[in-house]
Order: sequence, then structure tokens, then C-alpha cells
Amino acid sequence: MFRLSSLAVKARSLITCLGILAGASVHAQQDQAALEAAAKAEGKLTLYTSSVDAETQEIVKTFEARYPFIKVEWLRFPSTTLFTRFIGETEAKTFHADVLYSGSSQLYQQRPELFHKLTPELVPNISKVIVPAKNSNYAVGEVLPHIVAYNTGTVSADDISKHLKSWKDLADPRWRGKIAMVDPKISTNMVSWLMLMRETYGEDWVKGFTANQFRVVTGGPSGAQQVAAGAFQMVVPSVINHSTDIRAQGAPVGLLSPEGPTHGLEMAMGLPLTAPHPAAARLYVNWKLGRDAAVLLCKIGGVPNVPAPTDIPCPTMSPRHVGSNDMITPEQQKDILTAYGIKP
Amino acid sequence: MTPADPATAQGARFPAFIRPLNVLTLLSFAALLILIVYPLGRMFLSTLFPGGVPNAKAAASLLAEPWLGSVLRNTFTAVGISTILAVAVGAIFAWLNERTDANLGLFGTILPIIPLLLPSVALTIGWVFLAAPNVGLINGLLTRIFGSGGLQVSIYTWVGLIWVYTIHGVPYAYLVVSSAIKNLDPALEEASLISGAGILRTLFRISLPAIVPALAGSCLLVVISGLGTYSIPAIIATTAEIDVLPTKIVHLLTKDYPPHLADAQLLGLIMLVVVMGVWFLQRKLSATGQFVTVGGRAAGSAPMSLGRWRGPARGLMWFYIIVASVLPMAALLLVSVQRFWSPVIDPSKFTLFHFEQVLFVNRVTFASFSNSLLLASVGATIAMSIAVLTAIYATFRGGVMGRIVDVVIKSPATIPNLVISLAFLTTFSGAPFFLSGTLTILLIAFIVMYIPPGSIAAASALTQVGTDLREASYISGAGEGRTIWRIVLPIALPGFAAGWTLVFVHMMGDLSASALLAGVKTPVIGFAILTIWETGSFGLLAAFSTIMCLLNALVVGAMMWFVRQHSIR
Repeated sequence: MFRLSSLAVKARSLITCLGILAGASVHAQQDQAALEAAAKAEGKLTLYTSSVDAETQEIVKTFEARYPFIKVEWLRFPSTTLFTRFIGETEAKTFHADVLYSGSSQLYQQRPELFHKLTPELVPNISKVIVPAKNSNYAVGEVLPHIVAYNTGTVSADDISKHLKSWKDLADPRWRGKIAMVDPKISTNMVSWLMLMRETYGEDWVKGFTANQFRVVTGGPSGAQQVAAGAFQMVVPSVINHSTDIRAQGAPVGLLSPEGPTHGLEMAMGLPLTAPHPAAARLYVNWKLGRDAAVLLCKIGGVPNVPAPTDIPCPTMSPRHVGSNDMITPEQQKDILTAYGIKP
Repeated sequence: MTPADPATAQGARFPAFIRPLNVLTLLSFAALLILIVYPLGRMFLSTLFPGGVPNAKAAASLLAEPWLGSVLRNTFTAVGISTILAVAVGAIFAWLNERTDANLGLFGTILPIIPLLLPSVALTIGWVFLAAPNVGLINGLLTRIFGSGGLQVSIYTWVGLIWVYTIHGVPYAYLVVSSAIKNLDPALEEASLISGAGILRTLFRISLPAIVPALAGSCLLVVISGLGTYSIPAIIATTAEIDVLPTKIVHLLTKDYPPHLADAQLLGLIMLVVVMGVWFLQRKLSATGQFVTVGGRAAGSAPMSLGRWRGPARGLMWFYIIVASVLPMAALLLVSVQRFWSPVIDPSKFTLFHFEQVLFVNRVTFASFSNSLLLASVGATIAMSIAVLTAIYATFRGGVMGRIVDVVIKSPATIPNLVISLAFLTTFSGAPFFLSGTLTILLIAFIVMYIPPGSIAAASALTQVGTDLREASYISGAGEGRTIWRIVLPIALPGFAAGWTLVFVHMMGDLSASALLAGVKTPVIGFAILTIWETGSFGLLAAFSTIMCLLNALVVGAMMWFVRQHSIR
């Protein structure tokens, strides 16, 4: 009797739970349907992004295929320029950006009041993210691990095994005059990488790396192309999608994640309170944290910040992942650049 | 009051305050003044005098920056040396083409300005393709000749930086000086030659001194252009680790968040002082009035014979044309048909992939061509109309008002374009204007930013109109309007057309306003170039630049043809 009664209680509890779940699911479906209807009424979405164009084109194409009733336009600039523009427009009370997607989280940390709190009610997929944001006013959309992009024609497997096993080997004299380094002044995440290397390997390593007479190049994609052309043997720090295009065209560029800490760019995504198309923006942010976007990111070389699809090959989050420090002070930046012999 | 005074000639018909020239000029002037003073004044005051108190802290902070000295030194070295070289090369080219039998005919007129057809960012990239260490095409050739480890060149050096600055500056000098030489009465040169002076002596004693205002105008133009160009130092100086003012200002405004607006504006003030100094010198030189101008007796004449120097002079021009224009364009074309930039040239792997991307795939590039063409055509026409009106006013009326008009119209040249753009963004984007992301905000920003080169070209062109002709017109009973229409405009038209071309090309290749003011619905060429440069492929940039070059060539070629047709000799 007791057993029966216990079973009955359990069954009742189970049914209740299932009912709640079903109810919640129905509720969620209704919410999603309402959101899609509202987004359809808005019909468009403006994205402010710092991602490379090739990536944005692919992402927008896939999103528009899923939601053909939303036309996406985007504006691409480096993170700091995007922030300046967004703040300038906000102060002028003209609002264009529906979603901000940037390589730095500085703005969301300094001015969180300009962005929605990304709660599960607002963005259901937020509950799936792996790397948490520094506050709830933005989400990490993907991680771009810093790697080495090298010329496969001039750097052999032997070179790699003997002279480039670890980040520490960037100070190996084998690479003297052969390294391009992305201008650290273009983004805090480059300075953050230099800072991490210095903390990890010490001042002697900094001296050794500097003695290798690296050349500063204006950007990651530009550096990768100069490596492909043979101007340098490698560019650091690079990310996969800096060279996706040219590798597809047959450029002799190989990618390598050396041993040691894997510094990573955490792409930050925010939903401005003043978005002119708020429903479309919510739909996009939720989609970006969903499976379709994750599949696409796997293809183009990003690491999704949600559980990676298991049915396709996908770069996974490194256990050695160290997120970029986006809140570097001007004094810290000056100190780091000076240590590496770069004019602040 | 003399009979030649236009006030007397017109006084009977119009009171001074409603004379057409006065009314039109003052209306244009007032509109421009508002567009310059209001946004900039608001921004400067709020940053440099917050609460009405001088922001001494900002000035002290800037002066304490360890990089300030080297940035100023580097800028003056790069811009100063390249200005001298550009004006010298431009003036010699102009003289050879306009006055001697070494002229290259239509080629000679068009080819020296070919670098103008390329946006400076594309010209610079072209030189990177040619002279990058190890992989530049020139280095590939040198390796073949001298073997690896032999002679190499590098664009990422002081020499490389000054070289590209110079190439960039030569067309500005050429356009202004050639207009002046075209209108220079050849009688004195002929008299000098007949009197036994050699060609060089005639050049240095007669021809060059006669066009000193144009040379000074060229210097001013090249200095302004050098200080305002961001793309050349961004690509070359950054890698060569040479910090200069334009890159520093852009960095302070856009690469740091929050932007260091006060520092950037103070650096802008330093630019203002430099440009004003050069401008003051130019005014001094022009005002002395000891120059030969087009007189009533001007007539065509046979080109000066250079004798045995004709061949070398032509050779020099062809050499310059090849190294300054053909090679970078060829490099761009070559890279545009490669799958990715490679020093290995394999025609079997050539592809139109990048052209397809530019014209049919990339959403931004195609729209940017049509928007830029529209903006540059309309903008250059409006800007030149205002520049011509104000230049005529300043020249004819003179006095304090004339000087004020002249200073105001040139003043935007002394302020970094990015600062003007930022002021426009914060002033006109929101209420009550709501111009954010529209073509209108770009158009007015373009007019304000690029009217100075047009104004300088217009003033130089007017310097060549002798007062004797104007006086003769007034004495003959013509009013001011008729004198301007029948005498001044026909003589100065080539110079005005050259000014229009300069303004048009500047607007087509603008990067500064585009970076901050172009919106998702209003992409322009500079905006697209910036996007491609920062994110994309050299191949795409090369294809985009090649197409843009063709568009510019069509427009500028038509203008050069027009100039030749309407030159008064």
C-alpha cells in the first residue's frame, strides 16, 4: 500500500513536472511566436559589428534564410570606433544600432545602463552559454582563440616541432626578423595578450621576443596576407577567421595553437535599450546563441559559446582558455608597450 | 574714385549692399560660416573651455606626453621634405609640358595627375605591393638581378614614406602651377631667350618668379593635403614605426575608448598654427604684386626648344610617370586578378573572383560607388561655386571683409577632417536636424572639408587675371557682372576646373567623414575602403581600387579635355 501510494505520489509528481514543463514549453513557444510576429512587423535589423566582413556576410545570410521577413544591415568598424560612434549617436539621441557585437566588452562594462539585462525571459538561450560575461548586460557570443598563422612554404613541420612548440618559443632566435605582430594599439585584446605572455614567461622572455625584431602590422587580416605573400614567416596573435578567405583561395597559410595559455577574444554582444527594432534584435541575439549559429561558427572557425554541435567538426573551447582583459588602463597599456619596445 | 572703380561702374544701378556679387558671396559665406563655426565652435568650447574656463589640464597633459615631440618632428620632416619635392617636381613637369618642346601632348597633361585618380589608400597599397621587404615586386626583380641577400628596397622606411607622400603631392602642385603657366604671357620668356639668356636662366629668372603665387599656393595645398592624409601614414608609417600627427589624431579619436577628444583637438590646433603660417607666407608673396599676369597683349607662341635636353627631359618625365603611376596601378591590377597576393606571378591562376565580389557579392561596395559619384559631383560643384564666388570677392573687394571671407573659407583645412566629422556627428545627427546616416550630412561635411583646395585653386587662378584687363573692361563701360562673365571667368576657367577636379577627387576618396558619418544605408567609397582594408583582402581592395580608378579617370579625363579646350593663350 505504502509502495503503491509512494508510486502514485511519484507518478503524480512526475505528471505535474511534465505538465509544468509542457506548459512552460507551450508558453515559450507562444513567446517565441509573439516575438517573431513582432520582429516581422519591424522587418529589419541593424547590426553594429567588429567582425570581419566575410564572417558577417555568412552569418547574416544564414539568419535571413531562417527569418526571411527580416532584412539585416550592418556597420563594420573596430570595437573602439564602434563604441565612439554608438556613444556619439546615443548622446545625439539618434538611435540606429539594434545589436552591438564587438571584440571588446569595455563599453558594456563601463556603461551597462545603456544595455538590456540579458535574462532568460528576454533571451532564452542565454542559459546555455559557457563563458559567462563580466555582467549581465551583455553576452559572450563566441570565443576566438589567439593562434599563430604561419607560411607553410617557409615554416616546416620540423621548424614547428623544434622552434614553435610553445608561445615561449617566439623568443627563439630562429624567428629573428620573421615575425609580424598585429599592432597592439588597435585593440585592448592585443595588449591583453602581450600582458598575459609577460606574466606567464617573464621579463627575460619579453627581452628575447623583442630581440627578434618583430614588425608591427596594421591588422590581423593584413598580417595574414603578408604572411601568405612571404613578407613574414608568421603573424601573432592571429585568429582563425583572419585568414579563412585566403586559405580557401589556396594561400600557403597554416594555423597553430602553441602550448601555453590560450588567450582568447571573447566577442561581446549587447542589446541597446534604445534599439529601433527591439524584437528583431532579441530574435537575433537568441538565434546567435542557438544551434544554427553555432554550426555556422564551427564552419568559419569560431568557438561557439554554447555547447558545440557534436555532429560536425568544431573547434572546442581550450581548457587553457584565458579571456581577454578589456579593462586595461592607459597606464598599464603604456607600461606593456614600453616593455616590448613599442612607442606608446 | 577712379573711372576704373567697379563701384562707380555699378553704383548707378545697385546700392553696394545689394550688388549681385556681394549678395551671392555673403549668402554663401554666411551658410558656410554657420556650417563651420556652429558645430566646431560648440565642440571646441565644450572641450577646451568647459564652463567657460580654459581647460589648462588638457593642455598640460598633452605637453607632458613623451610622444609629442617626436610626433611633431616626424610630421614636419615627412610633410616638409615631401612638400618641397612635390612642388619642385610638379612645377618642373608643368613647365616642361606647358612651355617647352619636351611636352608629351595629351599624355603629358593627363599622366602626371594619374596618382590623383587613385585614392591615396590604393596608391599606398600599390607601393606596398611593389616595395614591401622580401615580397615586393621590385624586390623580386632585384633578387633575380643581384641574388638573395643583395640589394633590396623597403617601403617601410623614411624614404618610402616621403616617396609616397611626394607622389601624392605632385599632382596638386602640377594642377595649380600648370594653370598659372598656361596663362602666363610668354612674351617675357621669348624676350629673355632672344636676349641670349639660356633656357635654365630663363626658367629661374623669368618663368618661375612669375608664378610665385602659384608655387606658394601649391606649397600650401601640398602641406594641407599631407597633414590631412590619413591613409599613407596609416599603412606605411605604422609599420615603419614613425608616428605622425594624422595617425596620432585618428588613434586618439577612434582607437582609444573613450576617445581623447581634447588631445586630438589640441593637436588639431597645432596643425592650425602650421597651416596658418604657410598660408600667411603665401598671402605675403601673392600680395606683393610683382608677378607677370595675363595681359592684354598675351598671345600664343611656339614652345621653347630644349635642344639636346629635349630627349633627357622627356625621358625623365616618362620615368616619373612609370614609377609614380604606371607601376603602382599595374601592381594593383596584378593583385586584383590574383587569388591572394603573391610575388609569384602565374597567369594560369588569374581570376576575376575579386571583381565579382566587388560588383555582385559584397553588399557595401556597389552602393558605395553610386553614392560617392553622386556626392562628389554635386559636392564639388557646390563647393567650387562658393570657392569661386568668395575668391572673386576677396580679390576684387579686398579690405577687411575680403580677408575675413578668405580666412573663413580656408579655415577647415586647418582642422583635421576627423574632428570636423565628429563635430558634425554630434551636432547634426540628432534633434533638431536628425541627419544621422543620411547623404545630406555627408554632403555638407564634404563641402566644408574640401572647399579649401578649391578655394586655393580658385584664388591662384584669379591671381593670373591682370588688373589691366579688368580696368579696361570697366573703362569700356562694362559692369562688374559683365567683367566677371566676359573677362575673369574665361581666363580663370582652367584653374577653376582644376579646382573642381581636386575637390571631386578628394570627395571620391574621402576616408575621414566616411568613417564617422556614413551609415548603413549610405556607404561611400572611403567607408568601403576602410572596411576592406581593416578586415578584408588585398585582392578585394585592389579590385575595388581598379574600378574606382576607372571611374575617376573618366571624370578627370573629361575635365582635362575641357581645360585644354577652354584655355586662353
